[in-house]
Amino acid sequence: MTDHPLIMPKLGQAMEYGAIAEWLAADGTVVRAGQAVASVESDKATFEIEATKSGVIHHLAGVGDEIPVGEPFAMIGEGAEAQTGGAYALPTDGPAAGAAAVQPAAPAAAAGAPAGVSADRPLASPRAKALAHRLGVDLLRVAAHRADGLIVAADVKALAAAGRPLASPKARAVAQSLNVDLGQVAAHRTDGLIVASDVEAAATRARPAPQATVAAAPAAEAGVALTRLQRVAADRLSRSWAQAPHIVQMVEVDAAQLASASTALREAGGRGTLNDLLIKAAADCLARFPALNARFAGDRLVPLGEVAIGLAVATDAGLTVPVVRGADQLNLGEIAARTRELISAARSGRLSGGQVGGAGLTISNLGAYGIAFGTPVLNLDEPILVFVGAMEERPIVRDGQVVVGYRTTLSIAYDHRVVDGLAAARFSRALKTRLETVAELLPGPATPPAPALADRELRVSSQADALAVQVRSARHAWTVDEPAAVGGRDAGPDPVTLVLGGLASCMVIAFKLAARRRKVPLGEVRAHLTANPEGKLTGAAIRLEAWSSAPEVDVRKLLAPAKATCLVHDMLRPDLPITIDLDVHPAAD
Amino acid sequence: MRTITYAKALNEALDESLQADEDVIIYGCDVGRWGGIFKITGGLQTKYGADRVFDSPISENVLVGAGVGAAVMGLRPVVELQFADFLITAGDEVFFKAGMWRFMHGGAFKVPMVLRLPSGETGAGPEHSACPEAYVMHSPGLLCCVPSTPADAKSLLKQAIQSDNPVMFFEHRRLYQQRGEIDDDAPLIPFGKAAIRREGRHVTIVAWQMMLNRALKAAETLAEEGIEVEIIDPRTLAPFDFDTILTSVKKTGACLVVEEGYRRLGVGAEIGARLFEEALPYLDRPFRRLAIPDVPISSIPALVNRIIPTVDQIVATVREMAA
Amino acid sequence: MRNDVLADIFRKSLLTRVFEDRFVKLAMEGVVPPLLHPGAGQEVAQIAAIAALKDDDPVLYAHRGTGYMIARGVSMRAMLADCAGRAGGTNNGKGGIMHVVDTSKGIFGESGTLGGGLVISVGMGMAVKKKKTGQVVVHFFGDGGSNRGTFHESLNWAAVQKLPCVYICENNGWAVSVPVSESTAVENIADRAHGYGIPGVIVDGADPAAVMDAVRTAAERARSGQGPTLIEIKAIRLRGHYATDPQDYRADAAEVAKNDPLETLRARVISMGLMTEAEVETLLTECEAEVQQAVEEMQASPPLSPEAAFEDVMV
Repeated sequence: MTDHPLIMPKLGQAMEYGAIAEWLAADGTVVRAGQAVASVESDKATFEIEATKSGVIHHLAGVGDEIPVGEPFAMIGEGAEAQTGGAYALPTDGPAAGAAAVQPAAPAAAAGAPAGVSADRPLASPRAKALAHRLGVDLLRVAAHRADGLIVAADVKALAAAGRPLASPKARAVAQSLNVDLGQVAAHRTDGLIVASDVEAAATRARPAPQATVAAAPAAEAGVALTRLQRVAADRLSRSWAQAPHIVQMVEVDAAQLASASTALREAGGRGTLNDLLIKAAADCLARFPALNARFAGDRLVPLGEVAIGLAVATDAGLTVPVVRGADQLNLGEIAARTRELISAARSGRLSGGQVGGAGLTISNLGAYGIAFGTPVLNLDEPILVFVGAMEERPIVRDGQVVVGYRTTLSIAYDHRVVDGLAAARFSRALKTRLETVAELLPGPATPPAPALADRELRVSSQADALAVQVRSARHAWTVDEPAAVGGRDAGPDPVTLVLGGLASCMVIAFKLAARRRKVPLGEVRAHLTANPEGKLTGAAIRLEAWSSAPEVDVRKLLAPAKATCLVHDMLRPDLPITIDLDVHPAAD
Repeated sequence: MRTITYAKALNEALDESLQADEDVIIYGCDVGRWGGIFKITGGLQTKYGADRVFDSPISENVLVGAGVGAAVMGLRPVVELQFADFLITAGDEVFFKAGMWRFMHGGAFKVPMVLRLPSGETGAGPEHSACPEAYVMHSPGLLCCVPSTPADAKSLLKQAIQSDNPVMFFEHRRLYQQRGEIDDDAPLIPFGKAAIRREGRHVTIVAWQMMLNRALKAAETLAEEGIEVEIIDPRTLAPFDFDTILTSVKKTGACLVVEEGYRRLGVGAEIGARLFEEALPYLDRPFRRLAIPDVPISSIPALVNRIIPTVDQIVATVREMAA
Repeated sequence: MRNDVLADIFRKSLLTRVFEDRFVKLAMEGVVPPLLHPGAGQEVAQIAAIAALKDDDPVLYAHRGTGYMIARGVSMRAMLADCAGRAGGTNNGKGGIMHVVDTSKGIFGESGTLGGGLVISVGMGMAVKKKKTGQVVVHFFGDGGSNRGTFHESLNWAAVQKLPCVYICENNGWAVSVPVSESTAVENIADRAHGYGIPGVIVDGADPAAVMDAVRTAAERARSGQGPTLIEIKAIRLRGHYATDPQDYRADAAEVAKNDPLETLRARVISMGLMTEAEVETLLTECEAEVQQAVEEMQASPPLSPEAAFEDVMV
């Protein structure tokens, strides 16, 4: 077979589906490699997809069809054979493309047999076949909902979805008997396994509730159909609102420097705006709070890695959120250039997949509309959203006198599953401080560009009023502080804890590398380090726990090489007693 | 009702069997004059004579093989191997001769012999410490008893001696001095009938012999936390009463097997596989096993205790399962 | 030795030879698996040894040859049925030619692992001794089997208990493809008897009278409570290890064939005037007919039900 599928690419971190917005090459026509053949909408943006090969294109989907990432939505065949259309001219799952040039009915369907399905070779759409193959679903088990018996992707999905949640067999049986959708059942166990009691609890909760009270439109009105972008946005907002417990902290900011800095920028020739200052300040703060830069994923927090700041941009099609990636590594000018580019792409509907999604913090600036504060809704899977209110003159009390101050209010929403209230407050305060001293960010003769750091080269700085130090390495930044008892503010781990953390981490990494070298299968590895809590370190005890399907004796053999190759261990005083115990737990292969 | 030790119960079973049936003979290393290294056959030679209770050379192959030969000629030999581990020393005789002599000769013979196998760790190292009952359960043609109480020990041993099939009878050394009530009028316990040692609704534990004791202890701690475990003692591993386990797992949805044998392909592996085959719709928690990790058993107590499942491990595992 | 006994040994030896040669042919034809270890060259000694015993003395036979069974009158049809998976065999399809059993004729089977029967014989000896049945347990084995540890354990304990057992080692010089000189430290297996404090006797496998004398003496000793004897029969192996073994490892085959004990016995029977050449020819024809009838009867029997796989495991 020389036919070649065009696969729905994953164009954004969060992209699960792409919808055909427009076919740019009609069904059955000849396309060249590199030619844009379809315009595809994801939840964030619209992309053009190019043919990866020259030949005759056959659509496998119609306009509006949502194609899961990784599935084919068109086939490119060769020459005349493909043009006869037979191989891929089965009815598509969605509405047929208007431009379809060749669309004969499938032979079985044409024969009029409603089933049209032989017992051993079910009639299925190519998309259904591809999906079934990818999901490992046996097509013989799939029931077609269409009258003509054709199995379409939705049928495969329906069957596969039944097997998707991690649930015990008993939980499945209970779910079936109580008619509960396992997809709607929350697992209480930390391993995420849905057990029967979870299903029963869900069934109890699902007592007939009052119908969702959508403000009923007058009966005569047909309603206004949402655009796809709006539908997806609505869905994602609902999920975020329903899943993420929001906390919103409002903090008043002295906006004097913010105002003067943005004026200065404007006067300097448009290299940066208020939004760029906000992005820069937020990025610097987020870089100092890596724990907050994470996504909640059921049983764990997934660090987002880079510092990415989203900026809500209004477009004709709706609100979209382009993202400035690695914003903490960019200077103000670079950020300004990046945002201009992103806003322009957003407004013309040409954002690429890499330009949306996955922000650790999104800024929504509605100050221009005179809104003082708000209760923002987080973007799905993002931990922080900063709503910037209007900047205005307010009466403030200073030195016992009521005076006029230039102020704004930040309404900062946090995903409470990622951030506790105290950590959120620390971040809120840090962002407030940063914005109140934002003039430092302005390019000036006094701040020479920091030279790039080499590996194992560190830069450490500490402000006048605190013990805390900011540490930077070539690719990372972190804060080291002391607890309040020692005079610090506990903004980060103290130096000894940091080194002990390095020791335990290095030991785990060395253990895993040893396993890799010796080809010993290794699952999870944990380390529990204990040491004297105060004063000079007198020793440390590390208990390693490893899960492996290999015989315990093989896993145990990794301990010596791990210890020998742990570079942090090597750095420590040789007479410092450090004991390492290993527990090996069996794990399935 | 009387209260006697497990060792005394075994001795009584042998005594009464010798008394009841002239064809019963007992032999093995040190079982005659000395009464056995664990004193289970004490007094029997004096009472029944050296032609029925006698010592043997240290020759495990012929000890077991002669049992098969004597059995096919109509005797009911009860043979003692000093350590259950020596089952492997006499592997040909145990698995091929005792287990298959009847089969490969088309049913021409009965093989009514009993091999007594004192099991469990002794601190004597890897060849004297195992609970190798899984080997027997794995192999066709053999019955396998694992009594856990004095009453079961006596009843099952008498039953084993009366059986027309070869029986591998595992006695756990750590239980020898354990006392328990015994009802002299109770009928013999049939093979293949498990005992429910404790009723509960949250997790089913299958355990026998020393692990049964530990499971029962763990159950008390767990009960204080509101976790009610059901504990099943299989009593015989071949035949195996899976129905009792199935009934229990239908109720609890969770099963833990605690065994003193090696983990890989052990008794627990078999129980787990059967639950997969026959109880899948009822399983509500991952099936779990506690067993000896796949290393030989050491001779130093600290090392031995590191690998034999403990009460704490049972408690922690059940807690995790019941979560 | 009585002439009628000698003639009977010759007749049974000839029948055994014809039966086994036919078995090999059947194996070549695919009717039975080639698992028979032909006893050609050893049948005269096997049959002579059995002739020295009482009919109810239990026999555990060696894996090479069927002379023991023919001597005791086990049905050839049944033995063939065992091998061909037909109904009416002695072991219901479970053991083939290796586990032929007929307790009513004192044939108590064989261990599939060589030397594995030695330990069984000890227990059998213990049982007949305790039950005072007056029987003697006779165990045949090869030079190969004598190198198993079970040989030592069994002879030692049988000697300690003074069991009514007779151990007969048929030393044919070969353990599959390895000559005795390369596998065994002593020249004579019988020398090992000294290690157990029992008599060790060597006899010529081509001399049925010598074999009978040795076995009779050993059986009498056993029956009278004096314990076991180890008899070594110096034998020859005319065929390969199994029915279709090409024996390409062996240079002595042609030389050995000249000393076939059956030929020696045939010449002796004729020279003694017990039979004429013509009578021997007639006897051969009769043997062939008897074997042919057994083959036909076997082939007329229905195949075993595969369900027999589940039978006979336990009582």
